[in-house]
Amino acid sequence: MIELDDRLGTARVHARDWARDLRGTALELDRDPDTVYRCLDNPAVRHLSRMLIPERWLPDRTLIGGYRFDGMTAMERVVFAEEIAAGDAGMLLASPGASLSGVLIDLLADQEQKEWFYGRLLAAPTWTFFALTEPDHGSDAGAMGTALDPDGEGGLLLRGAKRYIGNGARAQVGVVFARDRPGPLGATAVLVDTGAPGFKAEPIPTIGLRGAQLSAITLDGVPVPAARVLGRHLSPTRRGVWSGVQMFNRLRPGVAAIALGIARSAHDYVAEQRSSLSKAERLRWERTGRRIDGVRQLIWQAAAIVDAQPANGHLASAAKARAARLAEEVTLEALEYFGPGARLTQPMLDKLIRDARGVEFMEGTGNIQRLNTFQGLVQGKIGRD
Amino acid sequence: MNADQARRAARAHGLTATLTTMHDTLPERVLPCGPSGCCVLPEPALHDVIGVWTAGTVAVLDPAAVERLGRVETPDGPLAAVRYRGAPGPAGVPAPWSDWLARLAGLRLGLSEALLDATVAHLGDRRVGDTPLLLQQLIKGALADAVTEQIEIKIQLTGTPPPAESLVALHRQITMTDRMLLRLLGASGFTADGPGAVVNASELLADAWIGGEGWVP
Repeated sequence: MIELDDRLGTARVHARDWARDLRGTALELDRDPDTVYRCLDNPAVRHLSRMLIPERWLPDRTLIGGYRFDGMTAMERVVFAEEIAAGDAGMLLASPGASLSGVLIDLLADQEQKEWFYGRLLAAPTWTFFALTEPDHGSDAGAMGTALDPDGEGGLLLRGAKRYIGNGARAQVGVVFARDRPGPLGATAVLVDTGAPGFKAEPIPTIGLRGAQLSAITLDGVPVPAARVLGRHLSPTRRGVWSGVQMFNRLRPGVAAIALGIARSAHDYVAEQRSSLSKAERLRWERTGRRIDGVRQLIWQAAAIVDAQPANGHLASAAKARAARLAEEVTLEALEYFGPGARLTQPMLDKLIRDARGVEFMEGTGNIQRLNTFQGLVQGKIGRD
Repeated sequence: MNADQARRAARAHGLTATLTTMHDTLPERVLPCGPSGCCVLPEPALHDVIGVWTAGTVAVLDPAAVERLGRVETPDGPLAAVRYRGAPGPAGVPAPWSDWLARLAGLRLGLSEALLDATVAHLGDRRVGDTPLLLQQLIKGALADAVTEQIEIKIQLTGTPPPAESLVALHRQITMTDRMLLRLLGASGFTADGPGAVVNASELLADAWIGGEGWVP
């Protein structure tokens, strides 16, 4: 079994403490995504707003239990993500900060771009977005239709549409993937200021995870300075699909941890709300707890592998698919402890059930993850020694 | 022998050889019976035992109290199934029950891993039309699910073994993973001399020491 070292164990204890406050605002955020603006002083939100900003740009970061945490490793991110999501996955996704874009900035941005991006984040609470998915092509980068063309004056113009983009409507900056030439190496990521002309984002109402405020983005000739093309100092191979693969590998264990946090929240909810369980219920509840513990071990192992070998995301795929399924199973099973009408009389449980559905398609659906897991199996890259 | 060594041994050398080694490396020559007195071992391992695990402790064996229950068939030959009906003696040293369950889980996981190896090879050889079955998406997904389960179990068996109740859950998980793989083998997993026979023996081992899904220790 994997055990956390003192540093990460400390992180876990603190994050669990923060999460208690998040439960108090979870239903409010579910009803009104703008609730996040009133929660910026919550320690979890403050922490998320500073994650993925390297020490160089934030040398005086607040210590947590005597340790410094910048969220630059997948292992650190999964520990925080589980605990914060156990408080409220919606708030985790609603929080300002570098979020998904932060990993890509770390991979691809040059010095000037990092100054710009981290500078914005440090100046004020700043929301970011990461736009790859498109209305007609999903996350298939090969079929991407959004175009990045020269404007004839040394700059570039973005044209196209993106969909299901978390925080798109409330973000100030973000990353957009677009095609600057045909072929497999034609995908490029650019930094975008949402105040630029031609940028429009509207929230898409969702069943759950409403804090994330998934959005539809329209890019109608958005001007992009040439200096905002990420990876401009790298070869086309390394700034295109390669960077996307590396980025998703690094992020996937964190998404798995969000699912785990939702599952654990439902499991904890049963214990909190049902003070006396029958013997059969107690056994069933304990069995569920062991399933949660097992998936946590899988996620920790996946995070450790991604940190050591960022190109190897096969186990991360396995962990993400497994955790997303667990979240759906455990939240639905929790209903059994409360009888008919539980979704109507237990609003928090109802929210968890709706939230659990949202994790399935984040960073790739379960079926995509299973295909990636299979590739790891047949290529001998999934740790079966 | 720890759980991980049992896993590796079972994947490489099979059930009987690994179970023999597991028994040989117990501190004493005992009949390691489960909570209801049942035990499954290779026949030679029964011949020189002097102790028995009963009521959670190690006691002196009464040979007359060993009841033969039958045989568990494996491709390497049958194993002997017995039940100890002797009265518990004075409390002795505690039987290393959790360690045994962990090694047994390691053994069963190793067999499951070998089954996955065999299943991948089988599906790579069989074709539907011009395409190997292995490349059908439903097959890929099912294999991905099975290997995910196996790795999740392996991580928990590595290093300090989990407590007994978690080990019981891991044994159930191994059984369900084996069943997932058997579904990919069709009728070839149902023949007495095929891979399904090992799974059946593996399940019988779990039954002898742990029992079925609803049983409460």
